[in-house]
Amino acid sequence: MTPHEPPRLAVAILERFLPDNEPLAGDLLEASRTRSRAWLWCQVLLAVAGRTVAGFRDHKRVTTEAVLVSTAMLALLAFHAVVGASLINRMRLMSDPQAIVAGTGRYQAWHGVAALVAFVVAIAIGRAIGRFHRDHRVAAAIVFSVSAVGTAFLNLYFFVPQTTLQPAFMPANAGVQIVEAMLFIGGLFIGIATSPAQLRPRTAAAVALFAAALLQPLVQAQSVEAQTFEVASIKRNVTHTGPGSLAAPQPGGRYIGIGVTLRRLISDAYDDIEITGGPDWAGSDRFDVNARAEGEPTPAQIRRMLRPLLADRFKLKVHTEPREMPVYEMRVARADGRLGPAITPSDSKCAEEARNFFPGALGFPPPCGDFRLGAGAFVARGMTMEGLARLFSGSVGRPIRDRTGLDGAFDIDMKWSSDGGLRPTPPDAAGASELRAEGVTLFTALREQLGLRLDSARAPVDVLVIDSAEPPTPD
Amino acid sequence: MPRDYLTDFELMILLAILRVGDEAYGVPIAREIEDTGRRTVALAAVYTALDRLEQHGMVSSTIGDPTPERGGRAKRYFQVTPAGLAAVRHTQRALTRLWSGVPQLKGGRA
Repeated sequence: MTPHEPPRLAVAILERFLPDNEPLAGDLLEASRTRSRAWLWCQVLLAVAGRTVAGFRDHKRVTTEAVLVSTAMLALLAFHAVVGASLINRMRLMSDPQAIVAGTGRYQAWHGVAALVAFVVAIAIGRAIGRFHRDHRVAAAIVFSVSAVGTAFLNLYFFVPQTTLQPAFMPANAGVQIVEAMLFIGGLFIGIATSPAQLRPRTAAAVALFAAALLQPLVQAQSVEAQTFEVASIKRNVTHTGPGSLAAPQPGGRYIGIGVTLRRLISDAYDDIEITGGPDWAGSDRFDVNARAEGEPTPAQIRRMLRPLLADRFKLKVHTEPREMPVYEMRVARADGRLGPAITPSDSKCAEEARNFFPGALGFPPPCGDFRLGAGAFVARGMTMEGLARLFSGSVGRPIRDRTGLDGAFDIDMKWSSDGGLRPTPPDAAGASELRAEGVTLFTALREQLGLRLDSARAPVDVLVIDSAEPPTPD
Repeated sequence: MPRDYLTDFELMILLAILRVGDEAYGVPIAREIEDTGRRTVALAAVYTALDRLEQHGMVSSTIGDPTPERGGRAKRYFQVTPAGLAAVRHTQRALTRLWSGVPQLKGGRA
């Protein structure tokens, strides 16, 4: 075999991990000149692994203590960093609620600033790790990264209110979250270089390429966020009379609204959030909407495209704020958690279909994801508890909060004595006895047939406040 | 602490050092084991065993001069000590006794 130079990285690893075993490093380099690169890499990795095991065996107690203490310190530091970031985020939301609305310039600008700040802070933390953990700085940075990302995930998953997570935790934003985390970790590793001289041009180029590769999904994710209808028509409907209207996403990226008010459109665009404020005509003037997007977006994506459309055509400006108001909390009625006879868990296929359901299909029984609410019966397939709460919120005149703790989808077949026009309850009413259909109250039907109860309560509810809106510009 | 028994790998290393002679450092020792024993060895494993043997007084080592082909790194030459030689003989006798009592191995073919 022709003699060749050993790989630089392998030599660097030898120097880094076997600094006090010069003869072994020399032997490996000498032997590698007549062996393959694979042989050298195999030998180097075996040497590093053997050295690690031997080090642990020779200094078992000290090594264990050092690992445990360092890990605990880094985990604690990461915890505090995430708590600090979370507090700053909450303060920002209190001062600028519009910033959580995906698809707006503020939301993207905030993420850009957050990524930049995280990157700079990570470099500073990396420098500190490089100084205080000189011998194990790579391991320390890895532990810190894992701790920070883990703590951030737990924080988001368990402690941030669901309403705040939406839309910030939509799947389309997952790419942004990942990119920000990776930039943070990348900053750590740049920071741990003990001096700028160690950040050689080739390493810097590799880091830049790595960051560019990460920015690709960021750009992609933001393009999804900012996705808008390809064409959209909004016309005043002056012939529509009566309370009914149709507004729903359709297959093929379409959104159709007939005789629909601006409030109804806002409700659709912002996940049926409580709405307040705005001009009177927003709840009375009716419009026909016909919009189409490219590709095959899901119903949720189509609804989200309404936001930029409304901002453009109605000059709509909104913000969210928490308000305490009367609500019903929906809970499982029985202490043993058993549900009623009229509700059963949907099969997994139906639950999956329900997630991508486009409303509008006729027929009975309803397809998965749809429901029929009419004379004598309420039938639903693939209905989530959250969806059920949202559905009946309109009937009882108060928001219903899902407190059942039940995940997944359910098939429901609840009997009414009448469609009965469930009389809306005044917001300050005491509760159950006032809400009576002809013969059966909604409360009774829910409790006896579904095993669910509605408890009256007061709670902070995120409300969408309409700051301003104008009649739509012509097409 | 001295001991008078050897693992098979330690025995091979001691024999390799004895066969190589004055030029016994990591590379020729490993090559000798690979050539005669027809097995591949990791240089790190050779050094681990050599360190252990040195701790038990069976080998001694000296550091040579750095050479360019090793990236300026020095060689570490090993010699078998009298204790190491005694351990090799002890192991040889033990193995010979074991062999002599195995009828299946008589005649030199298994």
